[in-house]
Amino acid sequence: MGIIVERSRDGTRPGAPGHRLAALPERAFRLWRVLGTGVSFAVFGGGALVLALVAFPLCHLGPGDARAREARVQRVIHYAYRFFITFMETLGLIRTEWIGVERLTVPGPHLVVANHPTLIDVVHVISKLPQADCVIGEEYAHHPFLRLAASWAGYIKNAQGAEVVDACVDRLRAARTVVLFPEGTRSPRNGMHPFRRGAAHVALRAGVPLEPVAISCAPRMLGKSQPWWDVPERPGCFTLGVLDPIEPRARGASDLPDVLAARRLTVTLRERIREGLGRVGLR
Amino acid sequence: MSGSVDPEAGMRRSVGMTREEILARVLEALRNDFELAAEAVVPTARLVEDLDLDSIDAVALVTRLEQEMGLVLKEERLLGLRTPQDVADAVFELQGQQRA
Repeated sequence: MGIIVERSRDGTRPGAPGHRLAALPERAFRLWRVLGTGVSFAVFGGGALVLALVAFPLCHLGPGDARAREARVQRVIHYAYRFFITFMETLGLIRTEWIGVERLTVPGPHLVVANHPTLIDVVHVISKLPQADCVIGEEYAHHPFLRLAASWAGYIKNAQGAEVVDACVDRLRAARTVVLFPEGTRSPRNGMHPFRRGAAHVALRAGVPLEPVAISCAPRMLGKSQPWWDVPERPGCFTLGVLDPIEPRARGASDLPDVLAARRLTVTLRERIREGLGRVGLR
Repeated sequence: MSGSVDPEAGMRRSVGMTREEILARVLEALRNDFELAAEAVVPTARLVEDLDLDSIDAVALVTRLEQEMGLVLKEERLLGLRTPQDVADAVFELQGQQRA
């Protein structure tokens, strides 16, 4: 951390995609971004449909067992999300900056846990992870294409707590990367929801560290109960900081019962992300 | 799904405990196992909303009570339990059935 990126007054970086668009008169740029966001949603929905109906079934035709096929689907999703982020940046809708992402690109297992300020957090995270197993929350449950895509990708359905923990532990034992959002849904306007303790249970059971990612978006866009056309006065600057990993068993706490260890670990995790947000959000 | 046959659990089995004694055990388990503030753990506190128990905690609590009291609570009975009092009532009823 502590990397200072020079920004111009409007929060854009010279040479960044969309920088020239920011030179438009303010109202015109805003209207442009409302239209651009609508186009982005259409591209996302259309893309999800095409991938779910064509590309993902093709991924499942090739050799390998179910896990290998799902990994191919996950790789396609990774490329699609990478494209989508670049698309939104090019339209001048968002800026994205990652800090310390190298940490997540070494071979797994990785247990990535992030706060959830916006609709596109998972898109950002997966745009950096060629293989990632996600847990599908309520927000996806009533979206038919995404649900279909998620099932091709072998994502974990958010059912009973204990089953989800088991499924995540299995994936981690197979050296895979699992992405969790312990808030369970998008954050409130200020701060974060209380964290569910499932991620901590997964870390304890699998014996892998939690790798927190602090996601900040300023000014706020695509937040909970914020309509997509409510674009902020300037493009949303996303900063995604990969923070120091948290070992599930602190020194001298190895005999603590799981339920207590999970409580403490969850407090530590939330505090680490809150503090990380303070650092990335202030710049 | 009948009473436990584990001999150690049987030593401390709840047969003959009053409703109040069982409630005291439930409250004690909540305070000790989950490090909850003693004043928050009252018979009418809601397990999920007030005491912040999740499904994994609930399983741990029930497992502990079962071991302590030598009983097995049926899963369908667990779904309706909202407060420590509900849990104590369920254990008390079960004890009555298993003694009969």
